[in-house]
Amino acid sequence: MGALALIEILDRDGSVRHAQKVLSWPLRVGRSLDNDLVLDDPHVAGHHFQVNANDDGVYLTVGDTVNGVGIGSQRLAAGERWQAAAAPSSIVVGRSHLRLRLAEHPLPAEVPLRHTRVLAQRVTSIAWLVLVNLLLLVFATYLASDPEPLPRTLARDVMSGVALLFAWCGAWTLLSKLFTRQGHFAWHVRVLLTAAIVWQLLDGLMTLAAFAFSWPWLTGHSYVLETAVAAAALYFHLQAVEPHRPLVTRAFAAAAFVVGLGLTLWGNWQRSESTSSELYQAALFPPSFRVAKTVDTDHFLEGLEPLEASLDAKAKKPADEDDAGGGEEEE
Amino acid sequence: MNKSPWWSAVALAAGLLWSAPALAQTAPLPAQPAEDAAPAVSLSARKVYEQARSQLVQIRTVLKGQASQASVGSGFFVSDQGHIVTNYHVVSQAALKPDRYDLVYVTADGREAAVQLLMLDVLHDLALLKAVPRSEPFDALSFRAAGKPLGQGERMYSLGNPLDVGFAVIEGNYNGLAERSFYPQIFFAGSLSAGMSGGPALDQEGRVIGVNVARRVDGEQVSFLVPAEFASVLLQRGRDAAPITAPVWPIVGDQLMTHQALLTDRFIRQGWKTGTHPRYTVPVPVDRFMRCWGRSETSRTGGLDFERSDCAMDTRIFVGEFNTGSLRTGHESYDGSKLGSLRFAKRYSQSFRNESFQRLSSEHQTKPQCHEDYVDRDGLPLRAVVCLRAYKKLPKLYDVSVLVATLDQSKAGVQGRFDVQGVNYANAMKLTRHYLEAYGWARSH
Repeated sequence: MGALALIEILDRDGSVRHAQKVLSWPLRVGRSLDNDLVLDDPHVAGHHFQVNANDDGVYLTVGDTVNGVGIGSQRLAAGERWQAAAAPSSIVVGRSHLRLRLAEHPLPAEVPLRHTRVLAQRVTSIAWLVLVNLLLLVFATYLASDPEPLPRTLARDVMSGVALLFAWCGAWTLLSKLFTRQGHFAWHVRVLLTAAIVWQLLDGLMTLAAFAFSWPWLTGHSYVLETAVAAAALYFHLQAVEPHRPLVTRAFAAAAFVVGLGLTLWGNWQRSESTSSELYQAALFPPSFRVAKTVDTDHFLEGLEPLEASLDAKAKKPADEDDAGGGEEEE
Repeated sequence: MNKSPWWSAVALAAGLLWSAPALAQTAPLPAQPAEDAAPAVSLSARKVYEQARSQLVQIRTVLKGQASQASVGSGFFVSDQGHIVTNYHVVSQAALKPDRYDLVYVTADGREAAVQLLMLDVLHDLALLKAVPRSEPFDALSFRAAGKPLGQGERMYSLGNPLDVGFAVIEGNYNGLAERSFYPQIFFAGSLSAGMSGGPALDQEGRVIGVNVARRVDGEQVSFLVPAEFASVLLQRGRDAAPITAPVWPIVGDQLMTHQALLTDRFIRQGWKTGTHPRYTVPVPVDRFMRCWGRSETSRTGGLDFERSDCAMDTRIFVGEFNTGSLRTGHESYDGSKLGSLRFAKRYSQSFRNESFQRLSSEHQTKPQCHEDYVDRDGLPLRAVVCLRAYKKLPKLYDVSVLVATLDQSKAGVQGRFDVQGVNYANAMKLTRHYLEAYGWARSH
């Protein structure tokens, strides 16, 4: 006789820890030993729920429980009923994650095993990412060092780059392993290398545009996009740690973005009473990169006129209490 | 711009600057062995001291309600009604915070009495005080006539109470006026110490030539006196003034307004040096009341070569809790021909970024506010940044800094900086224009 259904206990990473065939209705689930499926979970009631069938199909009835039953985003209280859906549903009782598969649920097609192909694809893309990052690193080191010590500096920078990559991705791999039983090292490497490229290209383009068009506000606020890149990288890293909770990881990354941005803004305000992270645009490119027109001295000085009123207004504000008395300590 | 050379040049050029407030304070110094003592005091030094002993006082700034001294300096009677001359920096704490500090004077025979502040001359670092009236007249020193300067090398005597150890007479020589000082100061070859500030310097007849004010900490026996004529003028102006009981910030502000007008006018009038760069005209001031230092550095690792020049004023106005009223220029001329244009741009940017525009704490100054753009100087493109800060206790006075980088070459350029402290807005604009317009193409170019 074929089974009517399958009730599965899932692990935190979504893999099946235990599966039990249901040969006849009702299926009773709870902590008490007279259940069909016994859950040793302190947050589960003695008779937590049971599943029955009638002419309309399979339905679930919640037993005498304080915690209720969670089905998807739905929450059922004691005594409530739920009609089974046309696809397997995940059921949360206490801290246990269950899944109910019914015989009438259509069976999805078999997923072909493409492990080796995927691995090969990843190797090529990682090789590309490594190459681009390496080129960017070499270029940055070339720009920053004098001709003579260049080979030495380059060796040092590449080594520290590699060390940083392994330390960062290693830490994420540990987290992945802890929560999903899989390392996902290659995934974390891809996330980091991609983020590094995006970050550097964005930063370079913004600095160049700020110089070319005389837009100091652009470099002054490049931290907005940079924080967004960092938050996106965090989101993708987290995907390999909590793959089954996209909402949580998305919310976490968004929160990280908001908090990071808030802290940067607050720091900038403390330092210079402006949202900009720098007082003036300092990056100078070769003269041919300049697009903005020059102004004459008169025009330039006109731009200084509005500062008087704003400085006077700020001068009238008393200093913070903790700053006061700084002068006396020098005595 | 490269930071370290800037500061080392200032230290070398202006070691004096603000050893002056240190003079008012007593820092315990290791006592010298007896055999190091100066040669026996000459007969005339003894005579001068004997004559001046009763006119000499120590000025103490006393913490209200605690009777412990916050700082000490010296002073001397200049009228029989009890007028006392000293340095402003000796009384600045009490003058700026009269609710926290009291002023007292102590005579050579140890009598202590209260003293009031009548008038200030912040620009020459002088203050006029008045002792509480008493029945018998005070003994007073007289000023040497202004038209009769001493000859260089003539003996003179500085009196005061060094380090609160006791009243002392220091022999030294008159050496004329210190060069490149914005306001005249007598160069006294004698050893002044902290605590002697405000004491008189006398000629052989015991007449006041100057008032002890500062010394160079990087030299030996390089000391400075405020010429007596300024003390004499202060006495004439302030003889019958009512005592000042409120904080003196408004008076200081008014006097700084006078200073900044004079400074702006003299600075603009003196003009710029010529031939400061082969390709551009770069603003380097004529060093009439400034001192310029230059140096050249070639990279040992095949990198950026540069030359720099820094000009700064020796004179700064001591306000009490900070200095102001000074002016400074500097520039670096870069040659990156060994680097290529991209690498040069990187170095040039780093140097342009490496600038600070914070000077005083937020108790005294606002945060800087800047304006920047590409400025055209007869076809020479410049990147110019101007940052201003306003003083919080000195209304309508500002510090202005101008930062300039030339942008016509891909492997070479000049970056300059101009700093002015304590000017009004109109003069800040005037000086900014004066500085920016000094950039251009050299005639030979």
